Amino acid sequence: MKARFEPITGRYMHLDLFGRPHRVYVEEAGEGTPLLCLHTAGSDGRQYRGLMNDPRVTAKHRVIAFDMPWHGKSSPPPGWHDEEYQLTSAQYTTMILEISAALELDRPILIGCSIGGRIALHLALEHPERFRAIIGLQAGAHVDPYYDLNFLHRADVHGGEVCGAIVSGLVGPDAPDSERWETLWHYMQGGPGVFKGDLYFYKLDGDIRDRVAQIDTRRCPLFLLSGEYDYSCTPEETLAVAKSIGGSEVTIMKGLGHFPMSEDPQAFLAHLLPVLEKIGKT
Amino acid sequence: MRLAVAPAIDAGAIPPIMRNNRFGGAKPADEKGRDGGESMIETLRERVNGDVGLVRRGRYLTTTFLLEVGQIPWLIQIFEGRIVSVTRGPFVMPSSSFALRAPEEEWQKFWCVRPPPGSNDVLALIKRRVLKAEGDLQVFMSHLRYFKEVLAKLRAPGAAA
Repeated sequence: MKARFEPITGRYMHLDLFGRPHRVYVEEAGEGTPLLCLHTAGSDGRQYRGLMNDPRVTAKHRVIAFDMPWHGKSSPPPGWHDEEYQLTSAQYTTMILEISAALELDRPILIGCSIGGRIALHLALEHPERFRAIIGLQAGAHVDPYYDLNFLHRADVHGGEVCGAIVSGLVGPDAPDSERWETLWHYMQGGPGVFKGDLYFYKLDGDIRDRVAQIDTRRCPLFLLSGEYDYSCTPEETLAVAKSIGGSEVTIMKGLGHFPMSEDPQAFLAHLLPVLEKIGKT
Repeated sequence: MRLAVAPAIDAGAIPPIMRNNRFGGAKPADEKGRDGGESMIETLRERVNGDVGLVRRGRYLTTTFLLEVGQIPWLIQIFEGRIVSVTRGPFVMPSSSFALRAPEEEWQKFWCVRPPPGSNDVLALIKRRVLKAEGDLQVFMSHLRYFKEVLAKLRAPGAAA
């Protein structure tokens, strides 16, 4: 049988973040306008494999996804074994700006999902000049905890099993089985306590309700796309954010869930491509 | 044979006066289906035990949990991943490791062939505060995929888990 290679290439970047050395895995495909992709909590950059493998995207875009420290093929920093991982808004912001600068990206388009969609709102507010446009997937201003997060990290509950099972219902009903289970596998592979540590940002530290209306889309265009079946960040929550931000554009994606780019890349691209085209004309 | 010893695990949970309500017991036929999902719930044992993969995923699980569908409680007894019994309440003193309680109309939406957004997963019901999960939830959470798939077995054949 003849092997087939995807056009994606991966590299390890060494850089200091928050005053500590980090080894960060970055992969990319395509050429053109940089499109920097942020994965969801507890997962990794493989969620963007559909974009990186689609010539309709890569013909005009350099699609880049990094695994956040502690995630995927990126290591936690030395000393991690005695720490509890907790992602904060400040760390998340710094990480994105530093990695973007290290890659010498010139005002990339930013696309982020879930926690990535939330930090996209923070960046739209605080650093709009650094981006050509911002696309928030499943982006809400806040999510209340709706289960005991401690179950995500305790020795008598298997972390991989519970993380996969926690999010399984967030995949939309029409997702192809192969993509659904690929998406869940990434969750099952997460390190101990990492999903929980990300949710510290998502459910506590990253609450932006009182500031989200200050986002100025004249400084950086903002597009919000959310899946109909997402009960973590519901369409209503995304619509509320869109309503409070003048000039933002919102799309509710029928049949899709919380991981649109990973659970059903083809269905998602039908929504994303017109957005990329619009950004390309500005 | 393992199933032969199963009733001893938690037999105390089911008062003798209620035992004729067990699945396949002496309940009159005209009683079935009166409250919507009742007869469906009684098929849980065969639906779960007929799924080799699901039973395998539950092979280290032996427990009894309570499923409340509106006013009607059900005790579901599991031995090493297989459903041993599905018993209809009311009960005098039901013992279970944990309980899942939701109004009947919420379960009916959950058990649709294509549940609407917000009704497609037990965590969606919990988030909307219409499902209460109570008791020793370590049992539930350590086997979350198993329990989600068990509950989804009550959807019409062909429906997504």
